[in-house]
Amino acid sequence: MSPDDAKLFADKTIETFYFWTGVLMWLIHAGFMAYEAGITRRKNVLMTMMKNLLTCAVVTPTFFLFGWWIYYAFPHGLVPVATEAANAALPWSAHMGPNLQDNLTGVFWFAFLLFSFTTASIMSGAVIERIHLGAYLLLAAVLGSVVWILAASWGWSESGWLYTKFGFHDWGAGGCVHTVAAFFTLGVLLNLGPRLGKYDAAGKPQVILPHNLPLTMLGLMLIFTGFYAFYAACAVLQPGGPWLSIYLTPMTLSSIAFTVTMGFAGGVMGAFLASRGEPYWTISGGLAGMIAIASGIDVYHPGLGYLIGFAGGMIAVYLGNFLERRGIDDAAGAFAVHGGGGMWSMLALGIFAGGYPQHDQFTSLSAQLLGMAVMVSLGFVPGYLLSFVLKKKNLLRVSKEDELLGLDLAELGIQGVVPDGAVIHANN
Amino acid sequence: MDSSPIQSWEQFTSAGTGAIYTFFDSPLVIKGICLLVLAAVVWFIASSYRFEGRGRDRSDS
Repeated sequence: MSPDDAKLFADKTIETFYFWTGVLMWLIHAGFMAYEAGITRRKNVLMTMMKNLLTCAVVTPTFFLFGWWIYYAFPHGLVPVATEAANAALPWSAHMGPNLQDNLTGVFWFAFLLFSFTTASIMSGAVIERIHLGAYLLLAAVLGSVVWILAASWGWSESGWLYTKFGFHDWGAGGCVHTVAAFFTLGVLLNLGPRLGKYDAAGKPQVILPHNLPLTMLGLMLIFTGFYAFYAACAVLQPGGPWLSIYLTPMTLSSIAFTVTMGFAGGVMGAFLASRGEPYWTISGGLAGMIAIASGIDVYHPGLGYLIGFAGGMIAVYLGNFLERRGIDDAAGAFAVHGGGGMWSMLALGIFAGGYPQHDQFTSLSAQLLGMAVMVSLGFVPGYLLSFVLKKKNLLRVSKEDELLGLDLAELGIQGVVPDGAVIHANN
Repeated sequence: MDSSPIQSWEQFTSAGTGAIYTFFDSPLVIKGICLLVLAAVVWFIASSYRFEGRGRDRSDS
């Protein structure tokens, strides 16, 4: 095989790998849709599913227009750099479309786009049943195409300042995806307020029962499946050499098989124990476990991954109950699972996996604490400020009448779940 | 906690490097971790018996 043929073969191998990880990551969004449709009440089912669908629609063009460029343009902070990579990520560059000399930009963009869907979707479940669709879509576009990808540029890239200057390590994006999205969501929830009926007159929280918990559980199984593809897409395929992390440190794909699965099992068990066998929290604990191990998937011993996932499942339950008692109505447990899991993920790496070489730095607890502070701030501040402005303009929350009627009828004019035997007169 | 069996970038990227997981250089720690995993599984299975009757208890009251 000539060197040219070898390069073409290598490029096509990489192209094929990332293309299919992106396709499989769509399962996460089928899962989010089923998960949220299950936890909502019947009167809001269709609107909730529409919101999931439209998340993908609004994030795709915005991520094409500026999200991908942000990743390459801001590795040093808030001032953009005009490097070759950043210029190549501009939507009018020769690389941002079919190009016979570049098999790879499109599939890398696609994989990152699916990460963006995931980040925006983390917010969607928390705010169901009372947010204006337009407000939600604006917030989703900002979170999915600006905020998280800026965090990724800083802490989830071999040239990001958190990595190059401090040795911050967040292999599977527990920080820039889960923590950023969770704190952005928390900022929105503080302005949005709880659903009507969530708290009684004395301020005591009420359980608003999911209308279809089995659908929610099926949704989470789809999310689990899609997350293997998410993590596989975090690995850098390098023909002729070892797999690399996004920081270009060596690793194996086997580490994902070991640690993610053990973290999942630990998360389920931890949440089962903490919630005393409550089904919703038990299965959500599986996701918290898969997130809790994210930062160190490449280096954890599987047993350690199990224990970290176990703690992650417990943290999600306790954090969810804590927020509820404080008057914050996170309808999907998004902050508890993604915020608790994401923060614990970065912290656990600092506690249990210090001393790994990171080019000129080493992994350390201090770097992880710095990274946590950055991710929390970068998520919370824009989420809070933007939703505050929307609230002041009366654009954030639907009217009380619409909320009581249900968003399916109020905003869409049809019901998603129709009682048996219901008919309407045809126009003709 | 320094748990890395890899001490330098050169060692990390060397073709001869094998296991890189946390505490690989401390077999006793790894065995302790495995023991904790086993304890958690036993705790989980035992607790699952305790939680089984919750719904019945609630409906009785």
